[in-house]
Amino acid sequence: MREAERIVEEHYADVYRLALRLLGDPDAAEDLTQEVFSRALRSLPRFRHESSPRTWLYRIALNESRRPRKRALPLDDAAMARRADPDAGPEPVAMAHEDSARLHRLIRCLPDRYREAVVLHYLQGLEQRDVAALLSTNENTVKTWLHRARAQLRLMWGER
Amino acid sequence: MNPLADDELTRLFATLREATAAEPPRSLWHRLALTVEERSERPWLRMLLAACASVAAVLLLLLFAPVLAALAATTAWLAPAGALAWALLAERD
Repeated sequence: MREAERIVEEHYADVYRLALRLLGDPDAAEDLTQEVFSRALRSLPRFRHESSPRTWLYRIALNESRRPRKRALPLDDAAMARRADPDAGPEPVAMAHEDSARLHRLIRCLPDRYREAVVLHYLQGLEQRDVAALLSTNENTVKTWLHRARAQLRLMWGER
Repeated sequence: MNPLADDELTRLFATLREATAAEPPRSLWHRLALTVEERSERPWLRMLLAACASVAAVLLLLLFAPVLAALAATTAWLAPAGALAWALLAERD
């Protein structure tokens, strides 16, 4: 079980951040992270190391996040500000993060494929070819999805 | 309101990335530690369940042994009887 402990220790923060970025709700992100590791540990004996553990865990997280669940409440601007800096006062930080919180809500309104590509590339920092591998498509398709997602986000931003 | 400028969107992605890069809560670590612990206990649990299942199977076999023996005896009689009946019918034709 040493391998299981090592996988959890090395990747749980990363998987949690992916879950938070996909779902936008800290409680739902915690539940999703636990579900991901629960599934991963169950199938660990069958894991053949053909991909990196991170890719394997991301794939499980994406599959799990697509399953119907209690709809995540949007993280409000103040909550986003507290999450960014819990010790800071409410006013200046809340103002600074108001726009990114709004962007997060808009990202969650995108079609699933666009949303996942945006989260993996712009928020998780994955290369486009890695995003393509995770979403079982090719790099050009990911480029198209990202381009369309950006266009939709820019338009939605204007529809205040 | 005007659509967002492209470079402004890029800047907002960076801000959002930072805002969601916080460390996960400690409670999550405890939940995951429990999950790992449960998994590490499972091989023993599986072995115990397998042993229980084997014992139960043997007990059931012993319990139903007379019934099974009776069934076997009946079947042993049925086979020649069937063959005889078949031969008689064939002769009638």
